[in-house]
Amino acid sequence: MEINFFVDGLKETLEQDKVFIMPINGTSMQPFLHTGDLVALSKPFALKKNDIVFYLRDNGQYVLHRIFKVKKNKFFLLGDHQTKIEKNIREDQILAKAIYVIINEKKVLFSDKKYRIYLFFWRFRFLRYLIIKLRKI
Amino acid sequence: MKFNTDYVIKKVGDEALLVRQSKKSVDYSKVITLNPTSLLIVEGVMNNLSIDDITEKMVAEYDVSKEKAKQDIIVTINQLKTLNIVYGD
Repeated sequence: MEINFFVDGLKETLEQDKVFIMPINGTSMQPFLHTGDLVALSKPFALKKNDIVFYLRDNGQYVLHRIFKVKKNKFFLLGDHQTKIEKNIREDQILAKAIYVIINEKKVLFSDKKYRIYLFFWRFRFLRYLIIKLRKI
Repeated sequence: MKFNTDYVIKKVGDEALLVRQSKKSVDYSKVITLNPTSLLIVEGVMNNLSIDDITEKMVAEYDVSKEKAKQDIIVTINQLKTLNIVYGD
């Protein structure tokens, strides 16, 4: 199904102040999220480091990645499976924020202890780079 | 025969889709695409029409015999029942 279909549905849903549930497609948020997992999106609010956001790149591509850093009202974004940071994303490019995910039919809240442990270790870019490289061997 | 009001029809271009929607959320993870005949059937059930009424509408809309139309409608409704989109007799 075309991504624009989901985006139209997302915009309509957020306008009604409802949560939009969408399937994940791609590898950039592994090992946390895999194709087939679901993400629940709400209006973007109080955006901060480590939030997972759905945004529109200037080239027209829609992406779901994590906020690595916020600097001078610009957002630096990075997929969990990536090492190269995407810089200077504007707030108006961010369409939605994840408020929870569904993995193997189980709801995972971002306040869950296991998630917070995962996040603690995965924020170290060098560690992530090493693991990704080792996996390719 | 009743239609599960947790589902709504969304029209996207030429396509019609059944999407699960509650007061708080809209779930696009399990979307059911409706072709024109299944859309006619779903709309018929939503409007509380009987199978015979829906059959009449289908015969009026398409070049199909009453018997074939009714058979297809029953098959479709049974499929919707397995998905809990339609329930009851």
